[in-house]
Amino acid sequence: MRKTYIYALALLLLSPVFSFAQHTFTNGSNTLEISGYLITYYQYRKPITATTSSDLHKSAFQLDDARLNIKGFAHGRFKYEVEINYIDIMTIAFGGTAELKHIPLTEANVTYVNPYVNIRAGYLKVPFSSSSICDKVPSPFLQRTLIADGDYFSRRDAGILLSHDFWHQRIGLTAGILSGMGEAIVLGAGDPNGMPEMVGRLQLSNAHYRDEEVDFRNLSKPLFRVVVDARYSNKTQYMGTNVPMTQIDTTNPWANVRNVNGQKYSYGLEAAFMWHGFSFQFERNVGIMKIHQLASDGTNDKLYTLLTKSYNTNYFKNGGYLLQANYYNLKLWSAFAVRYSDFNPSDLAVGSVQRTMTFGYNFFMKPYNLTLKFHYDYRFNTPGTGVKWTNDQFRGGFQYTF
Amino acid sequence: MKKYLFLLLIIPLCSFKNEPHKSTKPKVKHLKPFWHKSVNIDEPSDISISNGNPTHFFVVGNRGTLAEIDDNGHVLRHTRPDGSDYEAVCVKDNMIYAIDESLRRVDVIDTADFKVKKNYFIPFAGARNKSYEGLTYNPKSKRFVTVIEKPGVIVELNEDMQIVGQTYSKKFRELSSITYYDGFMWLLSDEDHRIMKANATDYSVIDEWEIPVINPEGIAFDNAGNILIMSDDEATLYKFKIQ
Repeated sequence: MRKTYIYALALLLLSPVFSFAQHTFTNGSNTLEISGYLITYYQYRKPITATTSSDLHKSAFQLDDARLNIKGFAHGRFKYEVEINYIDIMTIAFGGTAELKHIPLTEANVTYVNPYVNIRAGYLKVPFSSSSICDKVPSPFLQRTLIADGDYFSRRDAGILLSHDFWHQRIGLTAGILSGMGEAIVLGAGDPNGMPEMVGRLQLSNAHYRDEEVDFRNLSKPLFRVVVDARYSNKTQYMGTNVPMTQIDTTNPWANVRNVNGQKYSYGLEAAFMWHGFSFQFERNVGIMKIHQLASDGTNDKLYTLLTKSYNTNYFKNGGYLLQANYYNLKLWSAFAVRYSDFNPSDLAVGSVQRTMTFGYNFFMKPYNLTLKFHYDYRFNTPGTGVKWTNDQFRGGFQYTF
Repeated sequence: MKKYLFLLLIIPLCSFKNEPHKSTKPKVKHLKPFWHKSVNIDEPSDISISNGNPTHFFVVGNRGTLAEIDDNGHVLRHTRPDGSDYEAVCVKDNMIYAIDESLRRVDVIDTADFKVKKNYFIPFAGARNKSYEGLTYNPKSKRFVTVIEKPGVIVELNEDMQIVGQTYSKKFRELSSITYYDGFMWLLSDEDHRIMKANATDYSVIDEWEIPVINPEGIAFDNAGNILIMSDDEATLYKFKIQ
């Protein structure tokens, strides 16, 4: 298995790389573009301590993405996009279950483009958290940080978004109504009260700011952006990313809380900057969960009981922040990145803070279709315990876009 | 872990190249704009001097706007954005030639009423938004010349818009516009934020200048010989003077 991957990698490195990724067809009034990417890597997870059981079943070669993307533009008015990750299809087909973070359909939406308000409808990325919105391909890392990885808020949902930009794209405003079920909507899940989720996002920049973390354009003038975003839902059932999705993890009730039986308010604040190959991002996301007393079956809600009995409150907060710095050097064909993230799954649970320092290095093979990516997560000790909150991990692999 | 660190150090070092002819390359100079002004056109992508009035210019935007502006950046008249993805424009014989990048289509537009009179199709199968980005006309060779964005390719077209030649060069990592002026081809690179003066026959680069502009997408010359640069992301027109 290992040899196969090494040979495949060597073959890709030695073969002539295609000059143009993506393929476009046009009939004079409509265009259709086909593209995609493959990401595969070797992952090594270091045991937390020397005495920890060394179950290294996750230290292996892994195929993370095999995505096919179709984008179309029709009559100058309608844009549409469909994207599928074939790896996640295999996981469901042979594993039988799907984690919400790994639903194979990643885009299925249509945008009506017009001078007044662009209208996007379908299954789409939720306009909340730049670090979640940013595509995987231009990211210098092989994994998103915990605060934007889909464990604590949904990254995609079905619904409708309205957006407009002002002052030549220096101000961008997006507002929308979503199902609030997140990726579970693809599995047909619904909430008994049928209430939607509201989302809004406002961004300000000194010129049009693209959703990229690395300054690949080596900008000759500083470009900066600030963003505020918020979302609100009111549901009657718990929803987490793990299977089964609607059951609270009794050993760790704060883990993977996406929706609760109650109201969830989330807000974010961001700042970003890029200039001469250097770029920097700051992002702060907070979720406030106010729990209803009764669950849909008429019994006391488990989280409500936990909160009222143990902490004498009916709500809790989760959230965190990230600081990221990147440097792109065209002559070295390289990008370097470092990211610090701090996430607290509950403000009520003492010592639950999860801190990680991530180092990333990318080497771009000309003409940029192939990228070698290296990623190392250094975990800090859980406060007061002297033990890391999870394993350190190394990932080294490649990304090929076509 | 030491092995991984060693790999991380070795890979970027391997990318350094021995460049024996480096001394023959033109040295890149830096230009500063002596004038700039915001232009009220959405996502302006290219600019071309009007051959009817040399103080007027035609600008296209990639939301489908075609506009005429004066040399102070004031919009004199414009079409409604119709969703066309115009990324390139030039003027010849009182007709405007504008390229819709997505559709790979050249619209021939009357300068008097902005009505499309004719279309041509110029094929390119690469990415939708990495296609034709600039257009000019070389009166000596009687050919239109356009550029493909990334990797940069110069494409020559005859007067019936048929592709008759392509020039690839490592020098053209990325190209965003082209214009013919004073017997030379002037190329613009957005990602390298650079103006290149090239031989109009073989496109060898004679001189180059770096410019402090975000997303420069259009290049033209005014009557006084100043270089006009249109920034898409800033929606701003800049003027530079080469001494």
